[in-house]
Amino acid sequence: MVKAKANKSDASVPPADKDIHVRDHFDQMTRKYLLSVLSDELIEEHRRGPSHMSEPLARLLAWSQRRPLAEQYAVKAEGDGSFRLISFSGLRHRKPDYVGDESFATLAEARHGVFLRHIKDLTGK
Amino acid sequence: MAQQKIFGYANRISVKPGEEITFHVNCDGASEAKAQLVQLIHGDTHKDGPGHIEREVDGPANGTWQVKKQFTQLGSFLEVDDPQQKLAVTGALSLMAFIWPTRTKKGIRQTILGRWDTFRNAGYALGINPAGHLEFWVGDGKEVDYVTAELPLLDKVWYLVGVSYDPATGRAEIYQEGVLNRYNSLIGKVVPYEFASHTSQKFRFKPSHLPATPFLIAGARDQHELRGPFVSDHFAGKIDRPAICMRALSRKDFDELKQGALPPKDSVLAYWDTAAGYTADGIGPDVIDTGPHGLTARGVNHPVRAMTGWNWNGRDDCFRLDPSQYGGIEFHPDSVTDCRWEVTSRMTVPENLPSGIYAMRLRVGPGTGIAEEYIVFVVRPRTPKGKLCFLVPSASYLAYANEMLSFEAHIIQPMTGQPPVVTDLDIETYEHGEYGLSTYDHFEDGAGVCFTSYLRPIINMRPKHRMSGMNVTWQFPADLSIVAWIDHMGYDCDFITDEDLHREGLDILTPYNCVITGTHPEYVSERMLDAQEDYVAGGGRLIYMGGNGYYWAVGFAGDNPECMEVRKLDSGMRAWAARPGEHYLQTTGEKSGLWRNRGRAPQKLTGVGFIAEGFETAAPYRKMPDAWHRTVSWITKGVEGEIIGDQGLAYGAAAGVELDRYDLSLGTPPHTKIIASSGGHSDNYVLVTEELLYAYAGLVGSLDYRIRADMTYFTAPNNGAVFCTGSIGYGQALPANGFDNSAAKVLANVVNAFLKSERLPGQQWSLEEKQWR
Repeated sequence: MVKAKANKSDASVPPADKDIHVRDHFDQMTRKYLLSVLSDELIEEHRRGPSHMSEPLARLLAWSQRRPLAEQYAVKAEGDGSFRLISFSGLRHRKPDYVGDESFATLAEARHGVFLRHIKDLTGK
Repeated sequence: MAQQKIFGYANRISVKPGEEITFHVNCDGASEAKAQLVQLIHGDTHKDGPGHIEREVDGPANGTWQVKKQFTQLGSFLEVDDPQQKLAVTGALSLMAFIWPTRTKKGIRQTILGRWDTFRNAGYALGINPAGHLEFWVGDGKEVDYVTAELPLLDKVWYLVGVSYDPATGRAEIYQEGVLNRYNSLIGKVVPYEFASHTSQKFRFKPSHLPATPFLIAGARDQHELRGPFVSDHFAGKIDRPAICMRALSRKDFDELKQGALPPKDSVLAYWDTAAGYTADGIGPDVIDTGPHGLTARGVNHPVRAMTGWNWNGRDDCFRLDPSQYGGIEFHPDSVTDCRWEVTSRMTVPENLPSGIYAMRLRVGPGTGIAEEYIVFVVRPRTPKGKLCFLVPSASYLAYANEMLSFEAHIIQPMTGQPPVVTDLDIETYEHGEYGLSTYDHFEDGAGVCFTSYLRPIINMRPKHRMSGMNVTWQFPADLSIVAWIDHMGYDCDFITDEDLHREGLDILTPYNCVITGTHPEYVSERMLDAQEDYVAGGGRLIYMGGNGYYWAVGFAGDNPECMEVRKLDSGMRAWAARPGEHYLQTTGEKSGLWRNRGRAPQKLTGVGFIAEGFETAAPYRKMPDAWHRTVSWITKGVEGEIIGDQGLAYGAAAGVELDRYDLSLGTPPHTKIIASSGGHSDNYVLVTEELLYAYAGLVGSLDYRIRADMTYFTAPNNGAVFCTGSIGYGQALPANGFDNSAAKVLANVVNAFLKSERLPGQQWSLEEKQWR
């Protein structure tokens, strides 16, 4: 049996996490499906906010909610009672950034605004 | 002008009239704050409830307080008590420790051990440089000389590291060897890495020593113009058996240490035996020096003990089996369990102050948002007065203290099914990160947080706060909905905390006919659990007002009741998982995790236990056949029809958020009746993981009948009884419609019956009850 020691460069640069390659592949397949079912009706279904949603909407929301933290959005409750959208940095102790200038009168509208942001990211439009 | 913000905490969470409480405040942008004692009645601003309600109370500390900026020492470390400066070594020395680093790629300097002043470049230390390499350095007050290992350290791998240094020759030699075995490290022997490094360097000068520099383990002395001295360059990870010798040890000496030998006796200056001092009841924060000078190392911000050491063999899974394998002490640069701020003000609780939940309300500038603070505390009676007792679940408040799941937990949005709703207060606390974490968070190196304390501002233990991930009130502000209902009903009620119950046991409960819990009393110590079980068995009447209660086994150190420990493990809905071999509490020696896994499922005390959680929506209860049985029909008297709790401030109904279920297989008393049960929950409601043997599709609200809240009742010996709502959301349902709703009606029926010092309604049927199925 050959007994070999790793050279120093092996240890000095720990390999990157290859799991991300697989995740990206999975994400591409998911996006392809979501783009195939995306419609105005689906967006309207979310805006109405039914308690039991269709499978395409459930899958679209599941994709949105499972995106990496740095690609997720949240709602900021402002002191005047309005709501705005923010995004997380994914970095500890870095405060979230506002997304766009739009202000929403209700939480439901703001949450739909989050949904539309994910649609925008999905379609690239 | 700087942004105005104010934060504070009190030294106690529970006080009696005549006792003193101190307040500790940090303020930016103002030098004076308006202080007002208030009694807190309701804390949910939801439009369907009565809104925030507080009552201003005359108090000796009301008025204007002088406030200032106060600084917080973050990070856990050990400070060596060395008054005679034995460790200000001028001659040859060697430093050594077993280490298991966790942040070698962070790009920052870390100090493992040394007597080093990083501001003045004076002293010596062994540490890790920003490139992740082991390094030893000395400073003469001006310049610094270094010797650095060739290979970087790997995270979560045990090493023996050291240095041998002789100022007479200037020679300093690094010793770095991996000590992996089959169990102790993240990776094993199949990984073809080189772990060893031995390099030497000739230093130009000797270290200089400043009298005030402390010898620290896992940190180094620093200095700030405003703040003064503090500790920085924290080490992240575990350190086992650090030592210092007063000669330059040879490679052979170090090789023997690597095999587990003690440092040569004739040269030891200090040997901190991190495995010494364990008892069956755990171990404290201070580390014993078995060397000639007895230089005890004192723990700051709770370094975590009862952790596996470099020699852990994977067979002994608790320090009680072999403490010698539990020398690992884990350090975190972002740990804080005591802000140690100066006292801003103090107050002797007025003798005439009724028992209740109070706060010192502080305002600066606009007096809203982050310019307003409520320092909450409970006033318990000097002697019991009421027949009703509200048991404030302060242990569970500690568990959630300053949680920041919305910002960092990838799981939060899939779990809640909704984007978080954050406020300026949430962002401020997250951005600055100086008030510590909850047991739902992770340290920056990924380790779960197992210690939490109230000696720091807790932003979610105040009225008006909403948990951003779920966008409902949670724990303290949610419990105020029960308090508001008690106030609305006019009950004479005493308030005590988990801390009081843990300290005093059964005696604190026995004066009361009825004890009512908070919405989510999830964290309980053995003493708390014993006391409640004995109370019920002795004839007490318990109303468990929540969901997911009596779940985690926790411990408090005898001399640190303000600090709680929990380890999350094995199963259960948990934010993190303790590593193998690290499942036992250092504060008590008990196994932590779920009470269910220790033979005390919550069903045994209450009749119900955790079955599901979900968010966005809630559901009402529907009466079950037992509701009409003549022994218990009094419970739903006055509720027309079958539906109970179809309104509420938590998603619109009483059965929601976290749900508990009746289960005979887990110890529900066999004669328990299901008065009502919810159902038809959305698919955001999922089965809890401790119920899973095999996972399969469909363990969600619309497909699994087990996902529901059960409202249950059973009688206990000596005229005792237990009533459970089985849902967190029930408490938040009470204030709906001006407290006029079916959930409130049912609870009033139960409390009114439980308060009477006589047989319970329906007990005339007890003989038949035993025969009834």
